[in-house]
Amino acid sequence: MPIALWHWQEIGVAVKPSTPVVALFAFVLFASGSLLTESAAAAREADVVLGPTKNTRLQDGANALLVGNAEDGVRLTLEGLNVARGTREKRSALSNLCAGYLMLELLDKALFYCNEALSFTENNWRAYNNRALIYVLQEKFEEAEQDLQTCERIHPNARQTKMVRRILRDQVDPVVPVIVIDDRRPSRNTSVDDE
Amino acid sequence: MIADPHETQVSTMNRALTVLATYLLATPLYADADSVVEYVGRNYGDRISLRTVVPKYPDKALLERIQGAVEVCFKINRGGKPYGVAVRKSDHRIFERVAREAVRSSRFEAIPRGKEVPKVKMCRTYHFRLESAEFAADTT
Repeated sequence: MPIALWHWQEIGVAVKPSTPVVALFAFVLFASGSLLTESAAAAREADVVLGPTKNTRLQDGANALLVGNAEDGVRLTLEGLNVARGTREKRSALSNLCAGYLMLELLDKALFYCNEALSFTENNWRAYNNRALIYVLQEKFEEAEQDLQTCERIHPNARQTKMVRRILRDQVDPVVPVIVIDDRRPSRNTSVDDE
Repeated sequence: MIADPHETQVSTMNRALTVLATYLLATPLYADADSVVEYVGRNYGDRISLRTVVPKYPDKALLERIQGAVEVCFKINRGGKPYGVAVRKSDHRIFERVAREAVRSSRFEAIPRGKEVPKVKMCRTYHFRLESAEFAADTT
């Protein structure tokens, strides 16, 4: 899963083991490991307005999502949302719910929470990234393209965005790698002794 | 002098097996099962290619739809192993490492002792292309 983290834990998840997506999963799973490390670093370095102990449900929900336990993650995050204080907590909860429902392949619910998360701020690239993936899975490619462009404008080098970009490309314009080995033309008849 | 029919038969069989083995060994090895590989001729004088390793299309290049070609030049020692492998021309650095490694892993027929090793630098060009999957499906 391409998990994106925001401060201590906002998660973007790409889940859908459909044919074009399957090939990415190995990399995605690999990426998630390093992102867990990033999350720890981010937790240490972040200007923590919302400490991990402020909303333990939200924290536990995010941790559950990080380890792939989408059902518990969504349940805990919903509980965390009910007691969320402030915009940032709510925004994180909504964004994580988008990711969690995406993991559960409940795309309509995921889309709803992504839209809710984006209603708080237009700079939440993770929510755009998740929504782009939802659109790809729903085969709404134009909408996905728009969200990806927004993502790339906000965070040009986000790994998760690049992965969704690839998924979209594979859907819209699938390609086959071709490697031609051309032995016909020696560059020059250079004797080894000449060098 | 009349040849022994049995000996002739064995000799023919040996030759056939040798040709078959050479053919199998000379078949490019597929580094990436999803790639289409085309092998265009050879021009190595006395050095027969026994094992041609196909580089894997780099994931990043695939992701970013990068295409290009890399010409790798090298020499071949008596045992058939390439050495002095170096990139001579390259459209994009992303392909250089896989191209060099593919050449290093390739093998050529050894030169028997007593016979001179051709001291000619060889060059092999790898073209990394992306074709529309629909087009590729139509042509197969």
